[in-house]
Amino acid sequence: MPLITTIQTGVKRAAGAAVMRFAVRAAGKAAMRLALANPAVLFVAAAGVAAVVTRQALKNRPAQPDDDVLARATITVRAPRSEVYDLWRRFDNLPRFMEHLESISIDDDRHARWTVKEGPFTLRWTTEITEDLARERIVWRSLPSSQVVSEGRAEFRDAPGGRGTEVHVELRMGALRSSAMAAPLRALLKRFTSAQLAAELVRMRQLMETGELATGIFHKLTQRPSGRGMEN
Amino acid sequence: MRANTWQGKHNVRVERVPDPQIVNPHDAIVKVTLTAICGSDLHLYNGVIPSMQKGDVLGHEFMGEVMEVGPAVQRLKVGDRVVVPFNISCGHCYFCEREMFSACDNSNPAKSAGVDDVLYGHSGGALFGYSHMYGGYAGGQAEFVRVPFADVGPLVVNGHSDESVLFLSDIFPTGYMAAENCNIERGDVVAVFGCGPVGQFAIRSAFLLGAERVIAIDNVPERLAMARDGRAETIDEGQGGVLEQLNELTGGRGPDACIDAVGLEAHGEGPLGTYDRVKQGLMLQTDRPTALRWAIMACRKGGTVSIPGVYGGLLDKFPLGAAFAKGLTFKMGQTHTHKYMRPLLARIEKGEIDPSFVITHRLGLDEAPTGFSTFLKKQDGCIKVVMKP
Repeated sequence: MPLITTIQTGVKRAAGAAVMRFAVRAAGKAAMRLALANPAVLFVAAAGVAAVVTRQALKNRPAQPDDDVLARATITVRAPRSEVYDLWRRFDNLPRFMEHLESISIDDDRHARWTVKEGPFTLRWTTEITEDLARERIVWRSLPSSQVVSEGRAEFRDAPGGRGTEVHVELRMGALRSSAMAAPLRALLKRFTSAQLAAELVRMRQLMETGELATGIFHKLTQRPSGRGMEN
Repeated sequence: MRANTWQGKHNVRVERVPDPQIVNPHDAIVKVTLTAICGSDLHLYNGVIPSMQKGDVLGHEFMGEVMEVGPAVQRLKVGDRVVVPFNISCGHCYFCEREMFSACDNSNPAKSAGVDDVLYGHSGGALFGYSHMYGGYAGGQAEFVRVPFADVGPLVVNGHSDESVLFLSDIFPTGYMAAENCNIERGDVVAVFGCGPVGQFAIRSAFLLGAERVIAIDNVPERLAMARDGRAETIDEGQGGVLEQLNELTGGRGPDACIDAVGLEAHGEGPLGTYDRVKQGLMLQTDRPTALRWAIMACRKGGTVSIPGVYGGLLDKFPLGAAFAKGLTFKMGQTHTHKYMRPLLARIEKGEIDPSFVITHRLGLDEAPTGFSTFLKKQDGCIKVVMKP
């Protein structure tokens, strides 16, 4: 029936691209690549959650120059508050489950050096802990001299009914001092969304609850896991 | 090794692929001795489930022998003969601890989980061989499988043929959980929509759980006959008047509980059936809920609608008003397989049931493309296909 086919094509073209863009921003490009095999089905499902997706998209719009990116995520993990706080208090633990971080080295009790790789570029900054309430809250920020402006906050609360610990994390990254790093930082900020942070907290939960990072692979050959765990 | 791989809509192919290896400390490698094609595999075959990639290994109903275990595996041993549940569950999260194994927090890699969060609000646990949305794990229509969390899932079985215990991996627990979710009481009449393998096990499970009568609905003669072998009274949906017959058979009360063992690719009838297909064609609806609408309309007041599925997305013309007016309870979800495997093995061992009754076709793994096609088209009296690698 030619009319239905025409309508189908029109609907696909008009709405599909826009909704896909929203869906990609909301869920992170890596996650949505997985879902692109059947755009028709994805479109319908995404249309059904379009309101939520739109809100997410506005929150996670790609960074413009001088824009801050704020990523916020929450997870509940079955571990006591002290154990979760201890994990976060040593920042060199974070790259074990935070994929966007290359490495962190501890300088002293309040200072740490963060390294992030973006393509051939390496971004580095030093943070200091500005607030440290044992088993409750850690707040940190990059030193004024850093090339990347970065702030973070991790809060730990008891989940009700003995469910474990709620972890509430906010990470903010923003404008550069030096323009030489503008392009790679913009690329990094584009990738770094609340969805990305949420996925990293899922990895934290996997590590704390099972001691492993869940790795689903089909028949492709892989190497043994590195210290940081397998990439999917 | 040889494995049955997805190549596109209505296209599966047995190919040579690399053997699986131990990746995580709790993994085991199982050599498959028997596997099966599931009705939900047909959703993959029909291209309805997103996030499949060419070359993905299919299959989530399998059993075999443990060949290798990772360094952190404590209970499972090389040489154990095991049936493996189709869900992958970590055993330590909030949901696994409460036996809600299909809702496992930790078995789905975070990237895949992110997709589910967009589509469903929260992601469930991973499955074997069921697209990257469910974790991207290679499935069991193969010679070997990597089984994560090997101390949690695999059930060691001794004695009994492969054919009599294989279905502990999925369809027997699925039918049983569907029946258990009906909260069956003495004297209850249970309606089962769909006489595929899951419906067949739902029928027998309903009787095991104390139902007085089971009424089974389908339109395929062999499936209705197999339902009658299980003591069900049958309604041929192809003759029409399903709701009228259910009303008549229950003295005007309606069934006390209704099981929708048909799921998202239901055949439609009448104006609503056409409506469903048009909406699907226009991509305004992903699921066709014919059986579900019947279940809701037929069910008695205060009754239960039990949905083993599968549903994936969105559907339309859902009679929520009828469900509300009658105060129905809905229970649904992916099977918490691990919870049922041991008790159901005990029933097999006591002789209460031999699940192999459901098998109609026995093939070699290399015949998988034929098996899928025959199963989809319900040719040759096909109800359940098992395959030997």
